[in-house]
Amino acid sequence: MAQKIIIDTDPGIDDAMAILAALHSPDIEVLGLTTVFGNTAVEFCSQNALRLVELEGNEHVPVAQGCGQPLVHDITSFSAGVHGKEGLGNTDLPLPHGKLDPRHAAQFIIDTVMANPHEVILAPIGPLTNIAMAYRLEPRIAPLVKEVVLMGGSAFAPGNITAVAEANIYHDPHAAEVVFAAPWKVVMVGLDVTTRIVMTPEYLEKLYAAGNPAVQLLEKIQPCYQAFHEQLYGMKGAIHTHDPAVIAYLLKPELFKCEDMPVYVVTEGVCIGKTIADKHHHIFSSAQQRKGIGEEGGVAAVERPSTTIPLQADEASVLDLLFKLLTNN
Amino acid sequence: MTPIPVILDCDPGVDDAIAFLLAKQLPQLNVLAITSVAGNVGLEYTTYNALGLLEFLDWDIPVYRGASGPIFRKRVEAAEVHGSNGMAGFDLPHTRREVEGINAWDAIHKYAVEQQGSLEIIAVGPLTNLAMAFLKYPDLPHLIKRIVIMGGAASEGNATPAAEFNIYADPEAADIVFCAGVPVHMCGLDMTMKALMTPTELDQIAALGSKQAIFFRDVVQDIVVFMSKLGITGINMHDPAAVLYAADDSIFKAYPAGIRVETKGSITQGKTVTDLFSDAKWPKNGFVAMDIDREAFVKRVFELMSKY
Amino acid sequence: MTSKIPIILDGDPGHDDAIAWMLAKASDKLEILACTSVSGNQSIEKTSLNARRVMTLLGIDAPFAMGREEPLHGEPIHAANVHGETGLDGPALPEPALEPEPVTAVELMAKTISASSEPVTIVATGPLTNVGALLILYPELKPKIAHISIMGGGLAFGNWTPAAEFNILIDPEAADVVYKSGVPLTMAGLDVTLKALVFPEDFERIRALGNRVAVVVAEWLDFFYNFHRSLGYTGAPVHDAVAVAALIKPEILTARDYYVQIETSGDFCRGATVADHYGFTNQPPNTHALVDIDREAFVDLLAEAAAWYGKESE
Repeated sequence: MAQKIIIDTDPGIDDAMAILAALHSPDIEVLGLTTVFGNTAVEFCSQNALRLVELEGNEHVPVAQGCGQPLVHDITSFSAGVHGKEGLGNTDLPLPHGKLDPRHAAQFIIDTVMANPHEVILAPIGPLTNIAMAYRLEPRIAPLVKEVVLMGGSAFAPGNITAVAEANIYHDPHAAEVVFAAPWKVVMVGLDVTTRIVMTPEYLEKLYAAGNPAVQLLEKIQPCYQAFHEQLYGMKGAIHTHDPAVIAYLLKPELFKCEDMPVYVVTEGVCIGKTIADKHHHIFSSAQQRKGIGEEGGVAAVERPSTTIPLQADEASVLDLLFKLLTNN
Repeated sequence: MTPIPVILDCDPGVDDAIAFLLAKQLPQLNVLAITSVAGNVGLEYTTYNALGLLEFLDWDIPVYRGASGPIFRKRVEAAEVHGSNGMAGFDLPHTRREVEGINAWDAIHKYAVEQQGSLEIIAVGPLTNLAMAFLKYPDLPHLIKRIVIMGGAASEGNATPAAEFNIYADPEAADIVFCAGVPVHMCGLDMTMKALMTPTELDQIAALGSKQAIFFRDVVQDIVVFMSKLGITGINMHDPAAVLYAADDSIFKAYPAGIRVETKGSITQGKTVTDLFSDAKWPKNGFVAMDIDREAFVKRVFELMSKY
Repeated sequence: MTSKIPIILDGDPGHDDAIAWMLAKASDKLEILACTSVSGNQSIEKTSLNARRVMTLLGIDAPFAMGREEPLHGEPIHAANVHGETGLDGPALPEPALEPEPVTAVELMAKTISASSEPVTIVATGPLTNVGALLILYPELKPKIAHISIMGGGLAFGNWTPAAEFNILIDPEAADVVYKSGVPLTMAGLDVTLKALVFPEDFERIRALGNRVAVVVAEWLDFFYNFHRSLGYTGAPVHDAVAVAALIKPEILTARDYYVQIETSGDFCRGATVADHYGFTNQPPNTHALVDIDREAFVDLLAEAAAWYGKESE
């Protein structure tokens, strides 16, 4: 039976690839796209999400717009250098026809989860603001969500937006804290594994050769993303596989080697946005008496369920899986 | 003069209960609804108490249930002040009233739209509901005329040396509210610690004879005992002072100020940092009440309670 | 014969520091053992030069040593808008008649305290960098520090930022060390110093005394008031002199004993002095906090001190 998922997203070039892969998969039913600020402003993200559902006749998939700001602070800048001003590589695509769902993204998530108890997987691939909002607005969704499989964070690899932080978590660390502490199952597909799954220029060429509208769009928008990887990492035309790795995990979790441990998010100071993967359960056991966030220089000492963290992957098989998905119609 | 349309956001709570007694009789206020929040005690109790108080007062307005805890932090309580049921152990009358079907934040938005910009909020508990409403509805700040809070203090604290309880309970929510773009009138400890009613004055209220007047005196007795341990004779009428301010601020002294909430300082978390005259010259986003004419306040309370 | 209180003057002259030092030198209750400079109102080079000039003007015969430019943690901040380019703009001052000792301020403080037969009182009118460093580096000297009288902090409000007063804000970590040290502490914070106003007619009274020091003091007051007037003050709050007044005429002051903590972190509250008014922390008081002052008696104190310099030169 197809997995029911809501993709919470800030398209975004790698978001685009992930969304198209999910829409192509017969084993995934996308119940909706919910948009959040992140790679660019939420209004642009919503436009891009509508474009993506319209591209290959998926207009029946609702798109609901969500938060334009992190929960607590003001957004200071978007990742325009990575994804382009409008989020799709500065390609100025024609405006979409469709209309947004009238509900706030958080409300859409709540309504969908409540209507499909124990069936819906939340797949956030942008900052976690909407997910945290949905939980705070309606805590009863936590036991009813099947699981949360997110792209974000890094257990043991360096950060990408700062020395220690991954971009999605960095853009709203408070929201991330809420998500990791809430009583539901979370899978954190982070930089530990996504930076090891590399799409080479040759791989991308073969991908584009399939010629369907999805890969044609990717061919158009990818160069901006490739340029960023060249500039930051010296990768000549190759790119990391962040958001699409979530889709690969949903379809074939056996391709990933995971460990379970609680994750804490730093919400202030130099390490803001860092995901602390507490392998030996140090943090809670040493802070049993304390309460609240902000006690230990920006790390909450609140007991929480363990998060499943993919640390290694069968990279070739993941790339193969994504290739097959994206190149079929 | 048209009464001001208001929503009372609260966590009954003993002094919230007194605020109800007074709000019903204030001619300047048209209380459209009550929204409940977790604060003095948990949400189940505060909501139950809100319904029970309306039953006790024969007051027919809706109650909307709000947040069961702060936006980020673990919930803290003040049960040692308000009793484990939030009402000093008093049993309010049973009621068939129920909470309405939508959440507090959705209700706030709904009423704000209906009132076309004249709605005011009186918030006498942690500010979680208001913060959630602002996060969910970006158009909401334009639709609310002003917010009067019981909370915070320019110069002192009661939950900790630096922080007042309502703000301490949810500092992130409070900062969201102060930054939302709606003028916030902060009836904080600087003023409310002067809004004292003495045991004699409480007895004079009870002597009015109505069941409401007697309840007024009786429900605060545990707090009077609590305050005497701090060397204070009587009870500080925190929430009632805020409600009276919202109706008519002529017996108060308030000053424009820039106010932000400290969410991170290890000693000052939950402090409402108030810029009245520093060199930093923060932009003014609200008012801080610093003084009250105590005698006039007590007189007003007496007049309002006489109406029962 | 009453014995004098041996003191070390540690400050960042600074107009009100200079007036405080003037008050200290003229008092028969205090004996100045040493002077040290700290960075704050201006850079360490400037406050040190000012300190030596002021010592020369006042005839303070004691060793002097320089502090360092940086606070214990973080970047230095200065108040040129209040005290001017030199840190003591206004009247011309004599060239210094003494060189700094070839040791750091902290070492001079330690040597002085060690060598003294009586416990020494430190009068700190600037950021607490030197005092904090002294307590960290020489904890064994604590029993020989009788008392620290500081100008700093504000229990109700700040001035440089809404929550923090300038001296504490410059070096909150040092202040934290001082407040946690267990050494008896008198705090002249903004709560009292903003009431220690000297009005223009009081400047005239001092100027009319005619001696060289009195005239300079009146001109310092002119300059200091000029800045404050632009903020709406009706007089010059001579903050630092209150820390000295607390030692020589405590009866003109009202005080409360509180447990006070220093906030070193936070978005808005770094440098805040937080007092436990209601005793929630159950900690014993660590601070004798001055909260009120007899303004006229304070002005009399300053005028009498200024007059002393006229008699001295006779």
